[in-house]
Amino acid sequence: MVSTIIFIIFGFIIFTLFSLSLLNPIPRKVGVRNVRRRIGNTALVVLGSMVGTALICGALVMSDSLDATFLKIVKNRVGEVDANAQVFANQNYFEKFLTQSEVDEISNKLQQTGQVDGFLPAIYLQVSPQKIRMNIDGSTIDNFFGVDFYGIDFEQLKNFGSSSIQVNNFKNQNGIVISKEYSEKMDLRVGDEVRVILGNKPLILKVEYISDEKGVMGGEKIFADIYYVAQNLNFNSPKYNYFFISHVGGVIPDDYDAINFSNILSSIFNEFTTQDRVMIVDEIKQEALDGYGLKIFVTMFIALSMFGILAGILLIINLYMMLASERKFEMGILRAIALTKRKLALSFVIEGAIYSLISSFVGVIVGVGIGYLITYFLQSSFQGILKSTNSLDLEIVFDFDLESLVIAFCVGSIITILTTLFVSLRISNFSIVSAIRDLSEEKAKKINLKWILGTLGIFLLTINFLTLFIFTFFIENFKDSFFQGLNEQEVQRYTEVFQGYSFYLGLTGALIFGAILLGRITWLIFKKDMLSFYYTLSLITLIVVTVMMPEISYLTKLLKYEEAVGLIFISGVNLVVASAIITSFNLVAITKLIKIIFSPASKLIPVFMMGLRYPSFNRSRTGFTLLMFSLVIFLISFISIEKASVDSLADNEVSKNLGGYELVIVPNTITRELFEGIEDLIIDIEKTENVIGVEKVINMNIEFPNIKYKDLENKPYFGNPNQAPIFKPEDNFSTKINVVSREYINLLDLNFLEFKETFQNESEVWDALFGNKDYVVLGTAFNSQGYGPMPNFKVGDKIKISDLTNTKIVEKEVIGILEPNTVQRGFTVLEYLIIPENTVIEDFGLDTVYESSDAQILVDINNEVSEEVKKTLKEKLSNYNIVAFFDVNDLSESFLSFIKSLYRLTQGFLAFSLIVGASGLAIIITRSVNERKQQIGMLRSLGFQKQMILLMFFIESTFIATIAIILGVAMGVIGTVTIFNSVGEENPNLSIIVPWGEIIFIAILIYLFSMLFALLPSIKASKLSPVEATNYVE
Amino acid sequence: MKQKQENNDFLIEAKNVVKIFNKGMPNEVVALSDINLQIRKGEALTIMGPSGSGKTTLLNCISGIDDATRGEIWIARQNLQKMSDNKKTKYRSQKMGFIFQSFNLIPVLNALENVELPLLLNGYKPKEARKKAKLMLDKVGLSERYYHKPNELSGGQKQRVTIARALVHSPEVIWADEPTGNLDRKTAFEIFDLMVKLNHELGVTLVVVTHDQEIAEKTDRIIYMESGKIKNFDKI
Ligand SMILES: Nc1ncnc2c1ncn2[C@@H]1O[C@H](COP(=O)(O)OP(=O)(O)OP(=O)(O)O)[C@@H](O)[C@H]1O
Ligand SMILES: [Mg+2]
Repeated sequence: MVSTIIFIIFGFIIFTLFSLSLLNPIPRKVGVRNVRRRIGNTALVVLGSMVGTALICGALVMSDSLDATFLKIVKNRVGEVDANAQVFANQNYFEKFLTQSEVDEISNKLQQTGQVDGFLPAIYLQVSPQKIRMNIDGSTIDNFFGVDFYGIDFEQLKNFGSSSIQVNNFKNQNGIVISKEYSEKMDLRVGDEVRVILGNKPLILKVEYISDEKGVMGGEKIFADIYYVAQNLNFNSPKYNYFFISHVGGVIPDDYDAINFSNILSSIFNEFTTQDRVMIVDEIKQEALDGYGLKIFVTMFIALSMFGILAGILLIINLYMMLASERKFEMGILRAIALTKRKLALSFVIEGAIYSLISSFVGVIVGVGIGYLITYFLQSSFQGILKSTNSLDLEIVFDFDLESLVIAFCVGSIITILTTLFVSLRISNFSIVSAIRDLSEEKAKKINLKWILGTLGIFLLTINFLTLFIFTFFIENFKDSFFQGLNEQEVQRYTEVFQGYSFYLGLTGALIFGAILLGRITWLIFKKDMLSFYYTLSLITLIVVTVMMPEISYLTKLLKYEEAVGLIFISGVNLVVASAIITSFNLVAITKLIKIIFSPASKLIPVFMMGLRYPSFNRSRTGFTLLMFSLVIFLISFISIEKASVDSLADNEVSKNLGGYELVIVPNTITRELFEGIEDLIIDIEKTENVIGVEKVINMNIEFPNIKYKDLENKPYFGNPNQAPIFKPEDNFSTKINVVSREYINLLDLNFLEFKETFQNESEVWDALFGNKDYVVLGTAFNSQGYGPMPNFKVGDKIKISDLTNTKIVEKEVIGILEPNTVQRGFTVLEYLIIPENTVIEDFGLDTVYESSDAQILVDINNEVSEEVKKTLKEKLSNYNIVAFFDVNDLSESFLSFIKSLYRLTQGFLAFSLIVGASGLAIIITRSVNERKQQIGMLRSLGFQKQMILLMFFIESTFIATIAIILGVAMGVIGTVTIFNSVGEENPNLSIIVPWGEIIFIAILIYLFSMLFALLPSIKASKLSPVEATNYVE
Repeated sequence: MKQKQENNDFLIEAKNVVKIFNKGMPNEVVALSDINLQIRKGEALTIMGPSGSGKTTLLNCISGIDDATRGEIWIARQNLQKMSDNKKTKYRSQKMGFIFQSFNLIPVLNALENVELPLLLNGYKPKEARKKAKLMLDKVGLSERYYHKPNELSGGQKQRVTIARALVHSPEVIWADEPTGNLDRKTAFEIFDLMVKLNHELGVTLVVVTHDQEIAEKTDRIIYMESGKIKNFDKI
């Protein structure tokens, strides 16, 4: 869709230009002649504009490669399963399954489409199996995670697609097939037994077969006989809630075929949607892609590359503005002797179009090269990270769509041609006289009432946006059609997103147009040009407002949603643009300041004077260069800060949640004997050398007899096995008690979100908890996202809890609520109801506690010899029944690996945007040298030594680069801190770390790099002969 | 006009100077062929000749801002070709003033700053330089135009700023390529008289290219050029 539009625009522009050039021979000749006149010049323009296209193309190729990479993973996992369908229901979930006759009907309909070559109905549940055979190695925290559990008819499986799985009758009724992936993760072998809770019953299942088939069996899955499952769920006859479907040829996510296929499926399954049951078809490959968060990866990558691409676009604009200013004199003469404004503009646009087509072509090739290089260099490091953390087995595939190349080519060309159009219209509007005399057109002079009214109109419009009047009007009048088919939450979401954007964009517009309007009025009435001043004021206001983002509710509301990516991008760009414009409007003041600060040796005064004069003389050029450069640096600061902060966040979280314990041992507690045996285990561990401390944490399952799932706010999709465990709306809400000791609490650095007013400080709260059996503290889960539905308790609430069998009910008062968790790391100790051990035993009795609890043992070891200690511990533990044993640090590594690899990728691409910045500066300086040849000759004949010319350019480029670096770093830090503060409101553990050392190091590196690039043209300039002074026009 | 004491000291001596542009290429131009010329210290010399005859080229070569293809050029007893670029440049900044045929001023500097530049290059303190530059601009009648950028000045005004800049640091020799080309006759004479006055009073050597016979008459000597050769010496 987007690509079609781009292609149409491109075609239209080229067609128009082509016909215009055919009709206007003189502009065509002038344009073409200019391209051929100076090859060096042409090469430089092409080189510069190429960079933009190359970045666009590089980003697209990278995203194609990532897509291909992820698709490969997905294919490996889901194989020939192309889609699935599921039953969703809000009540009595198990009763809403499809019956055999309904399934037969669906099967027939699918056959008739001729597109389906596999259909496998199943019962699908999520279970959390516990392994019974004890082992140590290879076990991970994933033991606690749910796994997909399917009841299928193995006879039917043989007919699914081209699957060749041969499962003969199980020896035992409770036999299961598990996927290889799951078996490796859990270290399960044939013959092992696992315990799962099915319905409400614990069941022992026995592994009889391990399959490394992809397709139905791909991923982490367990398969059992459907009749056995149905029987244990108390079904009289088989019923189904899940369907695997295979397309005859297989489909690719996002492809036309895929959409078409899922539409066909939807129409078939929709017939079985009833009032209290919904059938939902998913393109499973798409799901898999989204499910791994891989798409977000690509989106983030593209979003970050936007800064680099924007820098490339600025380079293009800058180049053409230089070209135009160089041509000003010539164009004035052409205007004087022959051409009309339009024809003049046309000649320039034709010239620009030729450059842009050549450069886009070259840019696409270079972009592919960039993409290839990045994938090549990332391959090793990327894989290293992922391998070490036992996460995705990822091999980066280099791949690109032809479409991406065409898009990059078209977008690159369109941007360049539009830039020349814009520039040439500006130039051709200059009066002949001012062009010939190189006067800058006084804009303010043209102001009349028409202009003022126009600006006033735009100003009011943006103000209007700001007050959200328009939006409110739309909502009120067209609410139904606007939000058709959306639920309340979605309506609220879109409203808040829209309001946030209207506010911010409206404000930006109002400030800018307000400045223009004021400038025009001041000119009209007082004949004073105050535009720079007003701009400066407006833009400072814009920066202040952006920085105050966390205080502005419109924006913080928007920031809760994914849609905020745009806001983050826009506000970042706004900060950089505003500061660059403010700087370029006040360059004269800045140069004066620099002169005062540095007061150069008298010999160097003329060099300083010249070096600093050019940037402030070419204000817009300097502004664009600054902008281009500082955008790149902004991004670098952003990433450095984010990286440092997330790293430290992870460390904080680990120490906060575990109080410095490094190892976690999960003993098997399915029997009472095993449970009681933990004490021996603990003593044994304590005796081990280099073990500093051991702590036992028990988690007991309980329910809230008065709270049903259906009463909770933000209800889940009941019965959606992907989103939450299967529970019924009428079930009691259930959660856990974290049974803790006072010593353990003391070790942790826990913060309260709020606590009862009668307590002075946090330790009093804990004292009270351990002193009074009627108190409870709520853990981190109660305010965090991602824990599914949670009751909304407040301090002072009296809550009733009971054991799972509802035999014992106790009442507790909430005296404190902990601050929420930031990162979902899969392992937190104090997430739920925090109650001391003796209180729990007193309340429920030891028997109940043992029956409904699991336990973890935390071990603090001497870090210096951690590997040895781990080894000794493992040996010791083989005598006990252990479910899992892991190092928390490894765990946090693996949770961060995704983010870290994103950084790698972005940093790789960044290196290239850095080249844009540096080479952009070099190209601009090269062009400056060409443009100023005569002046340099003049300076040389006046007595500037070669070294002085070199120094002059050095001062000029240092001036621009330093300001850009300062702006980029300043705005990067300010912007990132702002964004973190706004987004991180719910993440109090997130402290922003600005790695100044790293940032300064990178800044110096960038500076040196740009100077290196700028050196060549500067040397060229210094070698110019003084006789150039007499070569007036090239 | 002839009270000036004769000086047999040659400031500049050109021996068999040849300048060929684009040598060996189809568009080869022999701009100067076998030029021999001596200029005395304190002399005022005019070079005349039709357009394209090589006047500007001659000026560039003997002033040292361009390199001759062949031949020798001596300035103040030093062989120009053997001087290092730095030495040449230093010499230019201290002892020479240039007025080119057009586009003389640095567009990013205003009139005053343009005139200050040679002074600053010679190590004057900024305040002193400013004072002197103002005086010089006053002398050429531009006291109202100190802070104008070149593109805000008329052709004649620009030319006057250029002259002010060429004279401000009291050089030993001034090279002027049609310095009064853009001026009305009255101003042209005024300005030229100023230059001749300096020549007389301070002994500044003056080498001028002009098409104006009347102006040429005011100098000590006129040479005529034609197709890269010195045709005849008018007066010696
Ligand atoms: N850089 C150059 N490359 C090639 N040819 C040149 C160059 N500069 C000058 N010429 C040629 O050398 C010859 C002499 O040029 P010069 O500028 O010295 O003439 P001029 O006597 O100063 O003329 P005018 O009175 O018109 O200024 C001309 O034929 C010109 O075309
Ligand atoms: Mg000439």
